[in-house]
Amino acid sequence: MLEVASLTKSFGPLKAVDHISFTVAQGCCFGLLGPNGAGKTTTISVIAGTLDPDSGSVSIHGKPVTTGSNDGKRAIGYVPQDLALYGDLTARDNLSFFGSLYGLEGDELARAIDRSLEFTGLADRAKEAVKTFSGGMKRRLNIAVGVVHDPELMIFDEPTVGVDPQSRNAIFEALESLRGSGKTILYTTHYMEEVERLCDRVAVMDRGKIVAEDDLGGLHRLLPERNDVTIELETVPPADLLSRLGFEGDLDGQTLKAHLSNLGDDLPKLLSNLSSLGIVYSSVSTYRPSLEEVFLHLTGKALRD
Amino acid sequence: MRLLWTLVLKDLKLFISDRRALIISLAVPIMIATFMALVFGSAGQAKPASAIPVLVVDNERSDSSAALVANLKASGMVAPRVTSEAEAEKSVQSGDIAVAIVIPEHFSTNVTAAMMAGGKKPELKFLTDPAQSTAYLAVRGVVAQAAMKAILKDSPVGGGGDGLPFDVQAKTMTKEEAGEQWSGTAHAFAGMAVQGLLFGAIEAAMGLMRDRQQGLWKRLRAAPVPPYLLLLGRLLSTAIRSLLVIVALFGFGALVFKFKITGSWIGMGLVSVSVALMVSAFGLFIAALGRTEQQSRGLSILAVLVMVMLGGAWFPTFLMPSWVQTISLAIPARWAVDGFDGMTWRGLGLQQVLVPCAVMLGFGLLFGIIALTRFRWEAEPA
Repeated sequence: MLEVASLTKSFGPLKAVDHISFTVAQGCCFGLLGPNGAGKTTTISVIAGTLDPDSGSVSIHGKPVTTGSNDGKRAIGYVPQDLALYGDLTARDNLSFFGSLYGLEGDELARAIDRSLEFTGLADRAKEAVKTFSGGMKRRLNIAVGVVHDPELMIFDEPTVGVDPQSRNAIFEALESLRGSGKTILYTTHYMEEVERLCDRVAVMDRGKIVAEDDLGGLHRLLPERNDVTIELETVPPADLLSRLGFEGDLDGQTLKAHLSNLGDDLPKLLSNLSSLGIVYSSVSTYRPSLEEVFLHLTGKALRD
Repeated sequence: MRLLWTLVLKDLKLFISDRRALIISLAVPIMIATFMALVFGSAGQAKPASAIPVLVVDNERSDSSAALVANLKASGMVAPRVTSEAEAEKSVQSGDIAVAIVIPEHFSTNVTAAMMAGGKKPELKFLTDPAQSTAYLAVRGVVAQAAMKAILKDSPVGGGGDGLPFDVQAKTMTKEEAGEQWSGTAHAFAGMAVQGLLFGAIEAAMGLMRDRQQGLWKRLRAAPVPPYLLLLGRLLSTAIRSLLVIVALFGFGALVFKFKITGSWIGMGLVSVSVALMVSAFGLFIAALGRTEQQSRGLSILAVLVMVMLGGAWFPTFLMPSWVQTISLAIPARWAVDGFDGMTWRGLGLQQVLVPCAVMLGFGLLFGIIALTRFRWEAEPA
């Protein structure tokens, strides 16, 4: 549905986006993950048609998207990081204005406004000035403005930066609802947990390049295999527990971390050995690598550096 | 067209919704104009700093009249130039020249006859600009002296006797209904209108920068609307606001200070629209070049203060040295003030404001083109 081909954009000597390419399938929630300065916002700006690239192209269903291409832009709903709303106007007036810019008018516009207000739970505040809204309500209206013209592709540019937990939940609920309704979503963030919660597919960006692109499982598989298991014990075990169990690992108080060579074969054996030694355990958890570790592995630095 | 109207209507809704800003944008220019009108309405003007340019219509064409002109020049107080009566009337009416002298036929002969035989005194006619009455008073004395010197040089009679051997007729070059006593008032309103509109343009520019900081222009840019239309919408909405201020300001002046549009009403409309478009484009120009509100506000205020000061909004330009008057031609505020002056108390016709309007629209176009090419749709990262 969305095709980004060999996109490049420089600002003076800085190459903000360096020959990046990816495609987003219809109905997919695609995450663009990277630290500040990775080039996510520049990429989003080009895709949203607010910035022209130096080279490369963006198309939606084959229609090119540039700063001057109105057809391509109509298919996009853009939700910026900032609360880009007119505070002195009412919620309805804001939606009416932005809806009109996308060619909606008359009854069609009125229905689109009502739908957007319902979707974001702001119907009862429609006639109030936006400046009287709470931060969370403004966030919701920011999304409502993006969806008012019922676009095929929704672009969210770091919508949760500087947002309180309650507003963040409101955003997630809206995003999950959009996903449920089959919308295609492009979502940028530097919070890995958001990507893990929302996205089907992720591109990891660093210094203007895509360093990896896959689904979450695929990204996790980029890490060297580690079959570690953590077991919480009910009682303080003997100090030589690991040698008595026949496994390598660490023992820290009542927490046992064992390095297994094969999870399927070794874990039942480990648990059986514990039982035979009369040691009772309360929980067993296997190691799951995070995207943070994936990023560290790919770039050699932490995501929030 | 529908899109453009949507953009304009949104801005006007925002303007009206902020009641305090609305009142301030209308009340402040009115208050300042009232103050300036009270100060300058009946006060005389200061003496011009340089030789006063004077036009001379020589209907006598004699050695004596030529000597009169030479004496004027020699005085160092006036700079005479001989021209036709039609040009003299036009120049004085438009305010380009403060005083013109019309020497009638047989003036020298009739003066000599009046002195010798007590015949009827001839009339020396002065065409005067009511806004520059001090200049007239200064010129009249110099002319009387130069005329007597020129005529008596060849006359068999000496000087002396009671008073001048000729009468002086001063003709104020405005329409009949216009009156010298309120020309300063109308000028104060013209000047303060231009100042108020330029400050309004700064406020519009600051609002635009705030919108940009807030990401609104980026969001607008993401919409399927050509960029020129977005800026045109802003230009027109600010121009409509400016027209509202013009109507309120001159309406108040006409009601309270009783001045009228003595020139062409169509001309007044044209001047108003030209000024409104010019200041609106000036606002876009500021927003296009400015990076942040904090940085731009001080510089813009300084620029506007210089513009209105040199453009004659505070004091008429004829009070300034000639080199400043020349420089002021490059300042749009000068043309705006001249345009309003021409239509209020000078009583000029439509044709006579076409040049000021064309100059203002030219400035507007220049500001608009620069704004369109240099406009930053996104705030720069902090």
